Amino acid sequence: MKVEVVGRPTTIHLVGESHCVQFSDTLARVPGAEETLLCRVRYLREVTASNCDATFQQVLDALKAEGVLDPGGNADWLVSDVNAVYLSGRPMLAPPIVFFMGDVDLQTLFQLLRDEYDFELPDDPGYGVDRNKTPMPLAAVQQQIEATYRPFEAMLQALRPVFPRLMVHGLPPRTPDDAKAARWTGGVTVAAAVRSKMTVLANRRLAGICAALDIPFLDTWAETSLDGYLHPDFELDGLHLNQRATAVSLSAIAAALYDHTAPTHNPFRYQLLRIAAPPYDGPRDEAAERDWSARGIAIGRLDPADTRRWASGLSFDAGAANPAAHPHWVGYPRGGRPGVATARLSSERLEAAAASLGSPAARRLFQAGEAMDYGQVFLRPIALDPGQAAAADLPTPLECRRALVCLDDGGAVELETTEGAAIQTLAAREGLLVVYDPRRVRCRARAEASVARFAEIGLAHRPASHPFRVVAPGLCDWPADPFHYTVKDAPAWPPFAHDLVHERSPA
Amino acid sequence: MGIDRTSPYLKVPASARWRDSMAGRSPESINPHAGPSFLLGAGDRIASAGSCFAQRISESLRARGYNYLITEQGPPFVDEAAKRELGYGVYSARYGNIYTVLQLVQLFQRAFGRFEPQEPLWTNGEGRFVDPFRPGVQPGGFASESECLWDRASHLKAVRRVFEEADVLIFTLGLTESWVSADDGAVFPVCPGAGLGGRFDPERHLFHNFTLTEVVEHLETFLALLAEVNPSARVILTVSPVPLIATFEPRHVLQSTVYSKSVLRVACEEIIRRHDHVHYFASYEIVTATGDTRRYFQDDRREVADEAVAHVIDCFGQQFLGGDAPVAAPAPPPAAVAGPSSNKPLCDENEILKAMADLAASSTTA
Repeated sequence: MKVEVVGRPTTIHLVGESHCVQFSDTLARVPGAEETLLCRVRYLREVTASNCDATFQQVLDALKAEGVLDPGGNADWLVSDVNAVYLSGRPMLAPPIVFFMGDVDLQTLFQLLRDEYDFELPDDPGYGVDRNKTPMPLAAVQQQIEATYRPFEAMLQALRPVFPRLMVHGLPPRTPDDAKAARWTGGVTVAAAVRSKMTVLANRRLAGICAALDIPFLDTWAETSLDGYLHPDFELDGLHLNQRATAVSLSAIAAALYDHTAPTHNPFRYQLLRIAAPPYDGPRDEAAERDWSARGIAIGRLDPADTRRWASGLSFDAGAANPAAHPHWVGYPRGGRPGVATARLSSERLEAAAASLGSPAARRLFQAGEAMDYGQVFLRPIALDPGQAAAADLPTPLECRRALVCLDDGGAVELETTEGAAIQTLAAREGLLVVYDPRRVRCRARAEASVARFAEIGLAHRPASHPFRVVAPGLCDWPADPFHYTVKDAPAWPPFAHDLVHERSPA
Repeated sequence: MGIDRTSPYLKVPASARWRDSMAGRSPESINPHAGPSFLLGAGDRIASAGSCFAQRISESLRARGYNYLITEQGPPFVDEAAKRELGYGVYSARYGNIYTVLQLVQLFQRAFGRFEPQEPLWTNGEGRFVDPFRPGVQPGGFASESECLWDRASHLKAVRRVFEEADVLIFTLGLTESWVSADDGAVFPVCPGAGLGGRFDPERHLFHNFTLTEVVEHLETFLALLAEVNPSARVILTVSPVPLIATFEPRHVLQSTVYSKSVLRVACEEIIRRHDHVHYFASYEIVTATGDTRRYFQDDRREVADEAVAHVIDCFGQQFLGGDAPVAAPAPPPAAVAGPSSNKPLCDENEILKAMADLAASSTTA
């Protein structure tokens, strides 16, 4: 029998309450992409949002069982054997983990409430209030929900630093059928409006926790509800959603994978990238070396004529979406970067940019204070309207640095320390190049009386096997794993030989 | 010359003689009661209301397993400590502190639809809503006007049950000084604009210091109203030993405190002489007259020390509970659940002090 290999899906770990069970071993294809998602489910029947401080070990055990944690309790994606990673043909990225938590606690609250209490929901979408019931002050309900979810919040806080692709799934809408719902509250009937309003508040709380921790909150309420209650098309048993709803949730998960890439780069792989880089043996600039050492800045000027070759007459698109958004790249969401217009670079322009940015004038500044070769330049032209300012605001991987090139006269480049102390403001002149260490310095481009154009640059080391290269990944900044990433939507000069960069990193 | 055998002095009980009941005794051994006038039964539904000192008695009753009547329980999922913060279970209903007798009368009248004050809801600094007649029960205020009014309606329903169902009502008289609405005579527990919400309007918010005649009349009115809905209810009156936080009379606060407590104490006396079903418990005397004030009050000479409270509770037990023996499995007292930091009564006046301190601090730093 001959089999056909169909690919390597991305594993999504769904962990927590019974709502995750519907996803067991589900395969899903991301529309318009080659990505396939495989759902691995860990139903933790004893773990709830309110007790996951006491049951945290069960969560860790589940993550160990899934290989997310190694037997020693370390995050596997950070400590995996690099050869094994290479052989696996995958990027070394944090696993996507989706938590389903908070509904068991809510059902317990319903059970206590019986059908005697009601409360006013701010911004009530139409549930109303039964004033014949005993009122509960909103503040009391909110306090209770907050207290109930505090252990879950603490657990997310503990996991988030090592698992930057955590997600939290929202609680589902409630069935309007009180009798069906009572099956899950020990036979206690609670009015659908009250159950729903409590759930709305609980979801608001979960969303707040997620926002504070920069974790995507998967909100499928709009898609799975009808007039504020569970849409009959998705109802299974008075509480759980049926198989059809998994597609809705997986769409939200996929969207988060594409839109929430900012925290996903692998810091250790970037350290290995520096090890893999050849030494830089080009010219150096003594003033730039001193400035870098003192302030984390190197300032100089490219030949304006060279800059013009790749930057004049660019066509900028305000509010452009980011079609290149991809889990392999740290970048802006698919919706784009509000307020900043960007331009695409043709092959010809990229070639000119590679010549300009590979010139000694540029390299001297790129390499200030650094022995290994910054041979990968990620380039993005931007245009700012009069009075507008922009700063590169996505995280910068370890060992990488950033730069800004002025493409016109006019406008300004403002430099300040990361603590907010002003360092220097430079009048923008065509070809002005400012290289800076984003761990020490914040750099803001500002347009003044007229539209100002700049180029935002990310500098990463190059593996010895790669040439000096300029890449234009649009609204993406860096590969999340610098040894494994797609370059299908990232034009470059010299061009990549394949759509996928897949390198063996140093051990 | 010796005392004649016919002298009435020889017939008074020891408790009536200073030498036998007071002289040389340690404060905690003094019980200023002649003996139990009646004992609360395990099945008696006991309700309480009054100034913040009254909370100590309600806590004691609950701790000893008595049938303390609570008609406004609060959301069932909220733990005891949080309920207490929200004013649930502090008294029999969530009316907060009731400092004056007229306030108690009007609470009854409002509960039974006989009085509807014109005072609109107050708002606090955060734009939230406050019930002027129990401004401290919802920390931070209610989220909306309708929530506040709905809660009030539900509260007054619970108050009706307190008056209708209680077998015994313990009321602690706190103050004679009060703030009254010029519109309709509605009495506020605190001055509007004093940190718990509202704005003070000198045209509408009037200061009034009740006279003995007025307090007695208000007590009579209340007893008559209570008898209408609950003829068999007994009443225990006490006077709070806590001094005034401030006086609005043009005189020293100590003079006003003595006036106020004297009026309240005498009013109680007048009433118990007239009504057999009304009894007096001497909280005021226990705290102010049995020990030295340095032991029974905190350094501010106002807050009653825990030692004094324990003495009061002990005497209350002897007087009405038949000693210390619990009659049922004791419910955990709110204070025990809340922990030591919550072991103080919830006093509106303390909130006013805090607001004044905050204002002073902000004025200093501005």
